[in-house]
Amino acid sequence: MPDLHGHQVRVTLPAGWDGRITVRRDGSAEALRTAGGPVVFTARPQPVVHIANFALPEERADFGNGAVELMGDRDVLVVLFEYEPEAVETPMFAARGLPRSLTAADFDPAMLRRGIAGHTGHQSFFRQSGRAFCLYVVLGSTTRRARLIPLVNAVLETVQITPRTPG
Amino acid sequence: MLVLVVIEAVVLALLALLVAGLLRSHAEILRTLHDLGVGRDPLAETGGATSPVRAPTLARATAATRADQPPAVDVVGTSPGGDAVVIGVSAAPQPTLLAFLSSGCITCRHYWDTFGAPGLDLPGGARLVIVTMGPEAESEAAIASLAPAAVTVVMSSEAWDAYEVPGSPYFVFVDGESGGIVGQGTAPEWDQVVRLMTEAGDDGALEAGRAGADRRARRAERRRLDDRAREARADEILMSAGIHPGHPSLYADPDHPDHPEHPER
Repeated sequence: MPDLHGHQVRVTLPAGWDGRITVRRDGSAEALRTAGGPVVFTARPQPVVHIANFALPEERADFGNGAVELMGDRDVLVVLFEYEPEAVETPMFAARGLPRSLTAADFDPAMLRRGIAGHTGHQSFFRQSGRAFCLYVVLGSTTRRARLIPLVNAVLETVQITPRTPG
Repeated sequence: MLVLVVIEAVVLALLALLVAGLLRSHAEILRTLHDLGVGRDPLAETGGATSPVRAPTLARATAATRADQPPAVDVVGTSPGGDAVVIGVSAAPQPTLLAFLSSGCITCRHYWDTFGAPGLDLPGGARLVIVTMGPEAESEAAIASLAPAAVTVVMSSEAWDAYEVPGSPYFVFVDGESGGIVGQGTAPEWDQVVRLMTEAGDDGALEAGRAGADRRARRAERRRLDDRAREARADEILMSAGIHPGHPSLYADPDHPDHPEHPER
């Protein structure tokens, strides 16, 4: 089975699955500010892992817009979105370790970044190896979630995250 | 003296025979190379060949040839921008056309341009993936400048080895449902590649993949239409409430004390 690895993240994919580890190409820092106020946070592009059991389109957003529209009821999309290293100290990332055994109770259509009828989603924020991540999962069918969640868990089981090295 | 003249004449005759043989052999080699398409430059304005030249080796796999072929494998490599990439091919829900191209070959230039054209249609709902040699053998900058925005490009020397690619351009057509190689080879023209894929689809070999790809395309189109309808509905509701483009409430600062939803109001 093929290995996807980069930026100190490694995932083993089942045959026929697509995977990408991307860092936004523009490379520019993104200043986040309160409405009309000062800059409160400067985000620099960080690695984003996309894993899917369907063909990932080239043009897609960090949280899968552009890809989720193509999903059928047998499809799953897994996103590992890394945040700034400083974020690891914030309460939002207090949970330790990547969730590897999701259940039906972990999914809710309200968790979708883009609500599409029939889809359901999962979001969790965690820290691992001194790094802050969001795990975002989209299932192409709520009714088939009992069959789709094991596919996701099988991939999550193989994810290895090690501390970032400089450069 | 007479003996010497006779010997000299015999030697000359033998030499003439040898030269004639060499010329004939040379002509045979040139004709064979010409038939194979070697030296044909599709971009040259005045080509040497005026008669049609058959595609040299592009061929569909038969039951007999499939047994000798290496199995289809997923493509692992990097994008021209350095992303780690895995492309599912062997058990993918749709057929995949792997186009092995390079930045230097002249015939490949025709394919880079063709694949960059908008609305490129692949028979059987196939997915197109361009595979170049890895960064150790290809210029990432050159590939990045050639890569069409909407087509997946993977740099992977391992894939060239796995599919035993003899040179570029080279095409491998894989049926994802069965994981089998449906056809492979090289061709100077895109039409010949399309014909190979169409015939494979007509045989029913790719029926499941084609149906899946069609469903996926219809679903994407329906969702695009849903988006437009949702946007139109939102516009209609906002406008019926007197909120038109440029309305100040659209740009109000929610933290400002005068904002209608500010907690201190």
